[in-house]
Amino acid sequence: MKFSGKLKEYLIIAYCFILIASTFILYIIPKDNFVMSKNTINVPSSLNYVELAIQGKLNEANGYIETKAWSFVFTGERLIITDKANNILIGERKSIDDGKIEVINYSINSSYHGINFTDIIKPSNVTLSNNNLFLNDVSNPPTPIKINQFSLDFTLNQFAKVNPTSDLTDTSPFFSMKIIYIKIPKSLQIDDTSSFKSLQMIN
Amino acid sequence: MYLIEPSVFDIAKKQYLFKLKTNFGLFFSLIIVQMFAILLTLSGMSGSTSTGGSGFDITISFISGNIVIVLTLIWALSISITMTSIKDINMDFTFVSNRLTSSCSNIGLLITLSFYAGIATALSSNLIRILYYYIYHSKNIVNEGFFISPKYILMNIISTVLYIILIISIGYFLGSLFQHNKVFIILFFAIPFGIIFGLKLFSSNLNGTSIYFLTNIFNFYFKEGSLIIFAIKVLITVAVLFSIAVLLSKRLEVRK
Amino acid sequence: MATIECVNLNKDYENTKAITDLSFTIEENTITGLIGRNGAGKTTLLKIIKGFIKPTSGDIKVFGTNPFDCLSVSANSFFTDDNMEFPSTFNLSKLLEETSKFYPNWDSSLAKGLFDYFGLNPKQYHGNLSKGQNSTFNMIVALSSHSALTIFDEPTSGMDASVRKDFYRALLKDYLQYPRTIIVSSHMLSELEGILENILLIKNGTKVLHLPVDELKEMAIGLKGDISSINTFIENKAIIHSEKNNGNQLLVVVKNDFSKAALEKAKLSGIEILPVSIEDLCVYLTAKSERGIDDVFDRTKRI
Repeated sequence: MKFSGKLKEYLIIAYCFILIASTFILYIIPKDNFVMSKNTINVPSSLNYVELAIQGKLNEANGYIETKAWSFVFTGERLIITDKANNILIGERKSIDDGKIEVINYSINSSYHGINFTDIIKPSNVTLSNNNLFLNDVSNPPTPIKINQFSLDFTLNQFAKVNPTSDLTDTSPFFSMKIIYIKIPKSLQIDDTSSFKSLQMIN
Repeated sequence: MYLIEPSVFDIAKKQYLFKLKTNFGLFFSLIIVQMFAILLTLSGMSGSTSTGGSGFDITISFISGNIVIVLTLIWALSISITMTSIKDINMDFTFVSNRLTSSCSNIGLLITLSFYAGIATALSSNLIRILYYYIYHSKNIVNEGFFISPKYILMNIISTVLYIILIISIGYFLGSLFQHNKVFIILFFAIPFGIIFGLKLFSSNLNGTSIYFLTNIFNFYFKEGSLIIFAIKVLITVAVLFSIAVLLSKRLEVRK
Repeated sequence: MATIECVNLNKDYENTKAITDLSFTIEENTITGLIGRNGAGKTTLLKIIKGFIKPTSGDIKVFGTNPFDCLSVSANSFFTDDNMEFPSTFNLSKLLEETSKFYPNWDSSLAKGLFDYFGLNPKQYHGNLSKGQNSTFNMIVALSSHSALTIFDEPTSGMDASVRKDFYRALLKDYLQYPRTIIVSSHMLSELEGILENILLIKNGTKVLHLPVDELKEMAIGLKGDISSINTFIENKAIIHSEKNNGNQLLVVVKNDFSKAALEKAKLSGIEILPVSIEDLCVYLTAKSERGIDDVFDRTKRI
């Protein structure tokens, strides 16, 4: 491609102008509406959710977010819990027999590669039919999420005292896991199934 | 008749200004290299990581200006080596010159290009961020690492300029070495092969020391954490390499 | 101070000796023709004078100093040949402008005048010039620089006859207006001798002679006649050149140190006296061998 001298000159000037302009624009872009890292949320690191549940502290402050709740009417004596979604199951026996089973789906504040992805964890599907409490995850093909993460150029990284992306490497231990909190009537018996085995009763 | 008494500084300055005009194409070639590098960066060649599960499918792409920096450094190396070609030196001697003014004006031109390229490279990272912002929108960009404070932009400029000057001095030094004695071209390529071959033949003891030596040189520059000390290291290295190059050129025969 | 002083200069290359024990002096403000055959060492000598290449041994001083890598020699001299490297990014008018910045004595009205006279296109680029235009442009630059020492190495290659004539005239006129030391190396001695003051004749890297043109004109004489008369007349004088023409007619060229009376006697005995041009004289003096081109044809005839 043969460029004339004048055209080359204009290209150089245009490129320099674009570079300076982008520096200014970068400065004035509003800082909200970006993908947030885990540094903006409280990600639980230890496996003490049962203790917190006992203390009634399974809440947002500690990193557990209630995303969906169900209330089922159930008067039967026995319940079979089938969890196809491999959730963490916590059970609480109510002090009364009110014929209702309450189910709460908690998302755990979690990060993947340091990025906060709590919002994308969809709650499980919970249905009660006959005496079968059936939990499963939605099986629609998920829409792919593409995130762009910028790291500092190596020339800057070498000398920068604070590297903003250096700690964005870990994935939280509970990434993509949910807690299903089941409150059952006082006298309800739960069948011994595999899901029952993973159910942790707090009382 | 009255004889002109020229000063080295005066002639070197005239040659430098002359070369700025005649080598205008170099300023342009950097732009082409950088535009190409930016396109490569936009195509997402750098690493990514992904994960998936029920209900989600995440891919995180990692972007930085490193591709632009590497391609610019390659550009810098190639222009500094070719500037020592006999054709360019001959052109100096069409007019008033001695070997010192010729080298000094070349070095002046190269350093000017280093500043130009260094600033452009550092700012190109900002351009890449802006392009991503408008193409992919902020909701798909991680906050951390996207915004760079003015202090860091300045630090990036200084650091990149230093790296480019370092590479340019290495290229000019190598070019002068090859001009001085073609034997060095063979040596330059033979020595690394010799080391690798020797390492394979002999025991691992030798392995350790040679590689240790090479990585030590590498770390001397790349792992230096203080910008000021890095600047001192680079400037001393550059001064030594340029001085040797100037000395090597002093006995060169031209217009042969 | 002599502009150029050369003592026992030697330049050796791998297989050849380009210059051997060359000594001469060129005075200030003279026009000297450097004459010799191809490969005699003219260009090598000129490049040593200009400081482009180094001698192997010997002493060379230009303006009193060693010219190699010397900035003051570079600033006060100009060397032009047909391999001048000009930047390809400038057109001809820009080239003149940029060149003038290096030469404080640059005569821009002369440059413009010559440029327009020879019909060069200011917007053209040096790489696109024909050989003749190339030489013309280089010549304009060399003249306009008004350098104290100006060296022209084969300046007229590619130029047609009328351009050559104009070049010699321009060179002479400018030299008279603005005297400086000029060296011209060329093959076209017959055209050039009108403007030269001195001739430095080189053969195989050594000096044959270094004399003013006037002396050279009178230096040799041609004698034509039958073989016996010629041989009697010249006795055992050194023969510079001899030529056999049909049968027993012989032409010899010898040094002209005969008295007028001797020459009259020769004429009476049927010997023709012919002048010898400087160009011919130089050709004879730098002959590679005793034989002439005719001998090649004679031999083949015999076969």
